Amino acid sequence: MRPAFLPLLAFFSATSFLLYADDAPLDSVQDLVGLMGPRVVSIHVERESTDDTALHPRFIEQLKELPPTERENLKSYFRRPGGPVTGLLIDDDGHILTSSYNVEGSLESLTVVLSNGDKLDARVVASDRVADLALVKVDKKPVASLQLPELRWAQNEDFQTGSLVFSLGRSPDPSSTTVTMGIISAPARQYGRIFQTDAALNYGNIGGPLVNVDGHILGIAGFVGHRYPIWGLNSGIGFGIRANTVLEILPRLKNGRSITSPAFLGVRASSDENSNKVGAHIAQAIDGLPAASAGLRANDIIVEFGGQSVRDFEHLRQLIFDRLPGDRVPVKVKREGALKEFVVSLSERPQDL
Amino acid sequence: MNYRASGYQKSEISLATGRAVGGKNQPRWMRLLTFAVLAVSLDLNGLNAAPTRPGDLTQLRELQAAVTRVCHEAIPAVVFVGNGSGVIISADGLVLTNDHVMEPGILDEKNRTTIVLSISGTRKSCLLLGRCPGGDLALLKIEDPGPHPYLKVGDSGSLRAGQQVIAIGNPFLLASNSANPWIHGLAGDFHPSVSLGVVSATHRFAPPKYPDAIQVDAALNPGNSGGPLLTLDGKIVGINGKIETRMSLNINSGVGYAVPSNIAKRFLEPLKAAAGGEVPSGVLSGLEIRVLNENSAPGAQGVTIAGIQTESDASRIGLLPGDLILKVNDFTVRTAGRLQGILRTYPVGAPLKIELRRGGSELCIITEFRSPPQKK
Repeated sequence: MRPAFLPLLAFFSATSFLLYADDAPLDSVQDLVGLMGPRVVSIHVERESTDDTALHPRFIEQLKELPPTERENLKSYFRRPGGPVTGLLIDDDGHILTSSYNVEGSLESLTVVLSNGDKLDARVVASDRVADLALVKVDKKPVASLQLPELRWAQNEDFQTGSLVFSLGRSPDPSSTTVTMGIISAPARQYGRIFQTDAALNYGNIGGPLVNVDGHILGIAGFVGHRYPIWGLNSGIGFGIRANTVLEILPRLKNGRSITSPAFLGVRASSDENSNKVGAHIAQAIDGLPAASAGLRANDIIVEFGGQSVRDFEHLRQLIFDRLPGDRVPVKVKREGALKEFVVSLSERPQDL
Repeated sequence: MNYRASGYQKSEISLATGRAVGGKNQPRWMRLLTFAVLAVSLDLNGLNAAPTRPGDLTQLRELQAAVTRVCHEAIPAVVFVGNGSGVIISADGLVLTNDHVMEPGILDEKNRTTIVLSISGTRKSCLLLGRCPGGDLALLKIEDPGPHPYLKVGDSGSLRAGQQVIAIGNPFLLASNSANPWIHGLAGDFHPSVSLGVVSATHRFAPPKYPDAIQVDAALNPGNSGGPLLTLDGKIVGINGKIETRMSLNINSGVGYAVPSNIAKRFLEPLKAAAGGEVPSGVLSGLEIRVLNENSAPGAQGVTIAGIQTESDASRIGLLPGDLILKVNDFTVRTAGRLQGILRTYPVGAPLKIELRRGGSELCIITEFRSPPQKK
């Protein structure tokens, strides 16, 4: 090689090194935990310890069916343990994402402990009980002093069954980051809103980030769908709210909109539905609920919902699930061979259904 | 780095010439020097070994590549059977599952059941070929001749504690079932659940149905039953079927059991020929084993026979109280549990070879597994 090229070559290799260093793969799990650590915060929740709302709402419903003494015993058994939970600091403004379960109930106080030990008063901006996400806010000034790594959300192609998952927590000791390791057990459940992992998720690291080997955030460790609402007993079946769901819901949460129930239409499926027919066959439009109020009735076939053609009842379920209570949705219905149009105002799920 | 590499090479050379240098005609100091060089070279060998830093992500990425590859290849061969799982083991559609997955309600009067394929959710009619309650195995045949995606049955005898394994199945019926109040397995979701763990122990004695089980810490839950346990090269080494639990909390505890694939292989032909019936496990009746503590101590020699029942298989083949059983079918026997594990996991008619010590001499008895005594 001619000497004249050497400085040029040196320049190029130095440049490429710098570019590479910026994007360099992480060397170890310790590096990963160290890098992400400042984004993982501890959330101390004070609520009335006897408050039923400290339990998961679905579980409260089930408890109602039990005799009183048994109910009280179970309640004390299932009640959340003391100790902080985890959240993910998503920006320099002091926004923190966590599982909505973590901040449910009547709260007396909410304190966030940052990785540098700063204790900050916090408030819930909004929560979405259906998606199991809550947005918590702290003062932005103390956050500015943290060395926050770039926040990178995982892309859809990162959700490969078998890919490694690291669950990061900051509990019970706010001064250190905890980590558990597992794999993606199923990349998409609940219409692609959540994914399943076998990394140990328990009360404490729920609400924290689930990251992949590149430090990209796959999602937020959630309560969603736990088979048994008993903390401290990880079953190897855990769920994360997927990055795409988080990004979809975040603007709504920032605007202060809380969701407490899935959207509800109020129709029952026809049992003789067969797969050859197109559309959702309605056996009953329940009185007083959105479908009946809009004029739908038994034997109608919903063929279009919000401009999308409906394949079958299960597809209709999904289309409703993608909506929010209060949404006004145009619906096309086949009735006695004729096509009719309605607009339904979706409601919250009634308590007794 | 370069320095270390050259040092390694240098000592390699010394090591190779060590014998010549250390010969009898060499002065004592030279032999000592050789010893020193040898010691240094061994040390350098250690330094030059592949890096094994804890938490090394390069190695974890390799693991991830292997696991995702196995998942990609294996998931299409996993099926949902009743309230459990199963795995296709041949292109023409043989499905291996647990006997306890074949609950009475899932079979029609012609011994047929409908299974659901992973991912596509396609429903397929299956004929029950045979079941082996003793080993918790059942074999089905998809009536559609295929070809179906399938997985190869590997050698569970090669498993070692600590080896990474993958479990696939349908825990809590998360896929394809809407009966679950906590999470709805939604229509169109036919993705099984995959969990990763290690072999915790081999040849675990977990009676009655798992006398010779693979113990794993991969998450197993109700619904995983009948699903495959796979090696990182994608071969079936077990059928997951049992978990240790406490109280009524029937969820993963980190102690799961799988029927080893080598046991499944022993029963495969009898199951194919069972015409929907049961394949009994062969027995060696009349053997009384004293479970002595020394039997399970490290270095234990064998298992002592405490007593022999009259007119039993054991008496007929000439076993005597006091015999020390050393090997059965070439497997070394050190504990009563291991002995039971071997004796309860063969079909009727399978060859049985017992090597034992009686007094000062060693004997070998060759016989076969007998039918279990008829209950009257």
